[in-house]
Amino acid sequence: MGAPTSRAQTRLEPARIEASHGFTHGLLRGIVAVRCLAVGWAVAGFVLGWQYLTRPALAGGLLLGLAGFTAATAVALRSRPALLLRPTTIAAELALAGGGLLIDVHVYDAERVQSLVWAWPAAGIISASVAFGSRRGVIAAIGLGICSWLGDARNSLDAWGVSESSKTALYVLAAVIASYVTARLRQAENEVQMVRARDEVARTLHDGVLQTLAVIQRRSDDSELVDLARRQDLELRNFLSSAREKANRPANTQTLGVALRSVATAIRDRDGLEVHVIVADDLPPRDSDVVDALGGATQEALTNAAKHSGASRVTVFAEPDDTGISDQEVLVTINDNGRGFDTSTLTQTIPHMGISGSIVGRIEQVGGRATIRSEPGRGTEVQLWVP
Amino acid sequence: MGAMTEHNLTSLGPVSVVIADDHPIWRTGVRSDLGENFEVVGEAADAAEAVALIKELRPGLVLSDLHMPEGGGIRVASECGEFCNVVMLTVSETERDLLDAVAAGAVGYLLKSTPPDELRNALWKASRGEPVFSASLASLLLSEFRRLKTAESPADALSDREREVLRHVARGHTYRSIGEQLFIAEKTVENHVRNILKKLHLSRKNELMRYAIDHGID
Repeated sequence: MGAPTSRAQTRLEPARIEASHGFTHGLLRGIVAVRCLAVGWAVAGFVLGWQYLTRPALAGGLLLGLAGFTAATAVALRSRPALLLRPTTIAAELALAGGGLLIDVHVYDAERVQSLVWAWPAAGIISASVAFGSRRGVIAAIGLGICSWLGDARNSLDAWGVSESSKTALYVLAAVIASYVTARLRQAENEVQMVRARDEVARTLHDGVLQTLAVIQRRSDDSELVDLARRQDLELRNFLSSAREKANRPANTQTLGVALRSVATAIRDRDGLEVHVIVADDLPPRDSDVVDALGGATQEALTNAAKHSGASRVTVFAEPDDTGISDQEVLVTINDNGRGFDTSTLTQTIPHMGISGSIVGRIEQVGGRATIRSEPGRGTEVQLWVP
Repeated sequence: MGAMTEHNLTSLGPVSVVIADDHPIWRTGVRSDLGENFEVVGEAADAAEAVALIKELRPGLVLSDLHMPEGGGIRVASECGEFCNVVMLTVSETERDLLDAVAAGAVGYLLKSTPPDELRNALWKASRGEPVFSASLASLLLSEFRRLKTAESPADALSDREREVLRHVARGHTYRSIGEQLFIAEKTVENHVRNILKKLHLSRKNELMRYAIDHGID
């Protein structure tokens, strides 16, 4: 059984890479876009405010630096995206941003309170937030705010308060939002990973353990071993399908499949009756009281089958039923191959069989209906409909 | 399918069987379970090997695992289902690709944990072209046809009688007891099941075509 396992493992790897790649890559692309926009903004300011520039060469050099770095990150995004989240890359970007903010004001004449590069540092702050979390992102934001203030302090000491603190607030805001979005995306990514891992586990079990159990059930003459293998087989199947159903169910609803299977397992353990549970995969979800009622009624029906019918096998089948009066009902059928009984005697035996009180009563309480059909020698079929 | 059924009826000898499964231990296991009515004439460890072997040997019955290298049971069913009876044996009862295998031309599907006597019984029927499958596959089929019904309004929807038959199969009834309950012959139940499989085959084909058209694939 070595081969299937290794096959399963090799299958897992590309999936994981693809998932994390998609998520991080999207973020990094977004950050490159922010850089490009910021450069565009700076270039527009450079062109439109041309006549106010006292040191056009310095301004041009600064812009070239920012544009160069931006272009480098765009290239890195294609070839080596991991580089963009390295501490050295981010430190370099923050240093460049800080430097830019410090010399920013020296390119205009003192009268004009204008900033050429103020938007660009946001990209570095977002990168720091994404790579190192919100705390360090905020520290980077405050650091760049201070740079901006230091740069500006020379010519507009009186006016710095409002503009500088709002600039810093914007940086901090960028850091916080970026880290929040990253955290949510990572969470979503983890969930995707978990679903994939579970599917992978299921596949591995199918390929390996379940195969082995099937072989044991076929080939062993030891009835205890066969029984053990059959139980393990059933338990694994139940576990796999419950996990899938739990993951798919909407909030405030219970999964009927999980409830029915746990009832079946309990009966099997108690009475040794083989119960086969089949749940249609498009079964609509139901509120917990409905599920509880169906589970309880099924348990009663199975108990009857185990105690009175002499059946060797029972099938529980849950399906959506759109043939009835209402739009879509859930129908659970409990069907055994036992000796059956004459339903005309049902009225006398009701209290003993628990049919009226436990089965019909439970179902009617949630607005459903129940029927029981049986004939001597033909087995018994209990059907439960709920809206 | 018809030709093979005749062959089995006239020769009355053991049914020739090809087993396709990538687990050697499973092949030897199932071989020892088959008993004297079946004769294993060939074994294959992947779908390509199986298809070549089946085309050469023309066995009366093929037991194929659903998941195998080189295309799996789906390939075996689609390439050999026309001229011989292919039964899917699988450990998994919930996977939707089971539907593809059946739609591709498998005559039935059984769980690997089916007890030996039941297995022999079902395989004997399958070797005569009778559709055999478990209750859980019937449930999958029902879901599939419900899905088709809500998605489109195809001509290949199930008739009320067919759906009734399928629901009985999903509840674990045998064809005989379904016949008794619906007051029809066991053979008629079988015919309904065969038609259901044909419709599944058609609807899958139509769906593939629609998909191809919608996505601009030639």
